[in-house]
Amino acid sequence: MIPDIELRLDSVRRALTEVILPGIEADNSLAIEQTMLAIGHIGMIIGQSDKVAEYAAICFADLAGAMADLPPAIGQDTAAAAAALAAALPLPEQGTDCRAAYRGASAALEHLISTADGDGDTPFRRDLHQRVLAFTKRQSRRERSWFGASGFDPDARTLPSIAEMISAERKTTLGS
Amino acid sequence: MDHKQTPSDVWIAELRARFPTERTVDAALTRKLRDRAGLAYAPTSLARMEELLRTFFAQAVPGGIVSDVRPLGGGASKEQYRFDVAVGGTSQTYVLRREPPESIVETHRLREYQLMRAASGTVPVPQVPWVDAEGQWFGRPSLISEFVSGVTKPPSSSSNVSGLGTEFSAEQRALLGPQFVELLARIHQFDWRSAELDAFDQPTEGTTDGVISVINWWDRVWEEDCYEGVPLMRLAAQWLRRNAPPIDKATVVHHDFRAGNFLFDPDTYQITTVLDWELSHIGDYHEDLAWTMQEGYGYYDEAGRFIVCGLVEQGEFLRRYTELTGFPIDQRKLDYYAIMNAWKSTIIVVATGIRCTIGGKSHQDVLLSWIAGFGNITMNTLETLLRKEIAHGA
Repeated sequence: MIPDIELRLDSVRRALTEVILPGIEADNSLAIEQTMLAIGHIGMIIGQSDKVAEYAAICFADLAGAMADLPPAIGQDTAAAAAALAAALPLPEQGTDCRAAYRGASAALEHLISTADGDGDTPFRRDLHQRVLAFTKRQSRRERSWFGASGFDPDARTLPSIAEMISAERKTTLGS
Repeated sequence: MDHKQTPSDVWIAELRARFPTERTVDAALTRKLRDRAGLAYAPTSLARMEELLRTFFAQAVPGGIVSDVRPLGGGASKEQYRFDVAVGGTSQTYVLRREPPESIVETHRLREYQLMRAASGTVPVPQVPWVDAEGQWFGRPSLISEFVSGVTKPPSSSSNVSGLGTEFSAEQRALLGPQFVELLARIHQFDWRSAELDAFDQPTEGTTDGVISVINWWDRVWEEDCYEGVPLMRLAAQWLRRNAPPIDKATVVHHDFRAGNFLFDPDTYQITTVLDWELSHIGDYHEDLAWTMQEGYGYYDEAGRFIVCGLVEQGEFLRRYTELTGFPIDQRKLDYYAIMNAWKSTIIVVATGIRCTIGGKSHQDVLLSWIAGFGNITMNTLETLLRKEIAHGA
């Protein structure tokens, strides 16, 4: 694959930076702003492109681990929603893109939270909420690293780089 | 493609019944869903925009000559065009704000128009002579305001998009900070009951009706727009409903009062106008205070003190606000609205922003997919705040 994706993206970034942006009329602030955003996006994508599949696998594996072995639910609707979530948690076959599996499991979990608010018993709800909070803390930290190049994070210095995060999660979450 | 890209009448009706909210909020959200399966955003040429403006001004200002139509950047939400209208040798510059097919916040132009007109005289706002609430003249709902000069950030300052992370020096803070607090105080002291604001529903003081209406508004937006489930968002919505405090004193809530949403003179540092009124509603002033004090809009200084919007130290912000208004600050309500606002901010950038880009519906798709990164900050804040409350058994 010559040239590879990163090289092609980098050449687009350079064209935008060195030729197209200076060529925009100074009073076209919308075009200037969007060109700068396009340059920023490409830079971020270059840092992520070869890690997307592994990142999705980490997110899904952590979600599946966080929701494994939920206590039995007493309410009928909650028990059905918990069963639906359990059915969405098995790891996809190796080599499969985990993004769809992650979305499916997240939707099933949202539904379980809604249902448990109806006929879920208090111990089940408490356990579920603690698991959701703990998972969210880890997931939002991962996402903050993943999108760190966007420059929004007030605590960016405390976050690992994407490569450091993936490397650590490979051991702790994927167990490899 | 998920079913949300082609909303059925049954689904729309179900959402409207499940999440009752203000009339004009419902109208704007319903229109968004009904138009969603339609065309994506396509740029309007400047020649066509000039033609639309000329047709409009032929009846609005007979003899007015439209010229120098230019697109403006800076906003994440609405298309903006600057143009001049000359009448009898005098020229006035205006700004047209037009809705794209879908926007990062779906709001009703009549609300923005009415509140800006009402607030004029209380705080500096651009004059808004005209509104095209149904898109009769410009193809999509729009309003036209006078152009006000000024900048959103110091000329030498860096910032991210939409004014987020704007840096001010100590001298600049000393000039802008007091004005910033005073303007918020004046917005909250404004006698909205005497104003023409029939596009707004009025919450009943002493009840939670107005708070539940706001929760329904944003819970509905999450349902309509989210592309990927985020379990925390469901948990937060449940907590907000269970813990809604009554509104003791109903005030105008600007809802996006922060750096980036006011203009100032770069020479004198006098604030010349307050912008972005589109999310305004009548509610609890604590909602505005907590919005302005969001972590993502400020920073911690070397002494560990939080600088609200990069302009005023938080303790000073609240002390000065109380001095100016005489309104009590209820810490429990500030905490409640901090959670509500982190939840709403996440909905805006993670759900609606991404939904717009999926449909190619906005002129700012490239900005919306960029600003989604801010959602991880608001989600992290939401988790931290909610964890504290749940640990306390709330």
